[in-house]
Amino acid sequence: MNLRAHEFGTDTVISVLEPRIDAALAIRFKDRVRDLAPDSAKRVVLDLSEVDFVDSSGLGAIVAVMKLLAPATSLELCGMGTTVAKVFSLTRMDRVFAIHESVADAVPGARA
Amino acid sequence: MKAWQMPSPAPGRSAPVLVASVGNGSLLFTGQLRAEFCAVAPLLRKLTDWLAQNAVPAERQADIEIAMAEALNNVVEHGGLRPRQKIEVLARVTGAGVRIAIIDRGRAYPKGTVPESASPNFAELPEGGFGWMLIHTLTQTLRYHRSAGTNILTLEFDRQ
Repeated sequence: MNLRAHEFGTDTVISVLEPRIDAALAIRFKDRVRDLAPDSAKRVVLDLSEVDFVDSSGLGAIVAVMKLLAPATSLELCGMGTTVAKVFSLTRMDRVFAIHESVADAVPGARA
Repeated sequence: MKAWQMPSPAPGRSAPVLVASVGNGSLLFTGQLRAEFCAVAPLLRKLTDWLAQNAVPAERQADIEIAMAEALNNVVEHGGLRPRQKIEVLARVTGAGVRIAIIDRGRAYPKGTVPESASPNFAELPEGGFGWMLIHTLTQTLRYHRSAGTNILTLEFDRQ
């Protein structure tokens, strides 16, 4: 599970460098994001721009991470491709997360 | 002519018999996977390649990939198969769209039917229960058949 974290003050951007977040990876994904998210972070922005596909297990893992980090840290999303965005909208989870176009939109100070 | 735009057979004539073949643009797809989660993605890659060769629009390819991921994960998770047992996937381009069958020798579906599209309680921020909802939403028709210890789930998708 290839993830990369960058801190920008109280914001942390975690980029998912995998083509898929699916049933084969969901549990490892959840554990790794939780480990990478600093306790001090106010926001964790999950950068999904390298991710082509999320299935319902991957979606469930993202929701689980959001719940693990709350309330001290809010989980936000950016860089969703069309297929990933479709899974979020069909399941109405697009109403649950703050969703940004890109890392630069989500974290104005970031040079990603 | 694109395979996707197959003409209907002329009235009074039966449709030509389709002979299974392999290679680019084949109207039939046959694949199999081991009953493990990590085998699902490679099968889906082959399936979407085949859909692209048959000029299925990208948006419909995505719908099919989403629904098929859920359907195959369900078989792996609930079928009670050993990892080295195989799940078979057959697909063909039809006049109306794409028809795909998932065939496995695992446990029968509960109640002998396709589970309802149970809507999760969104207020509780569910971490699961989306699978059948996605499958029902993205398919035109969905049928389940069980005989001789074999499950056959048939998913049909419109062309547009």
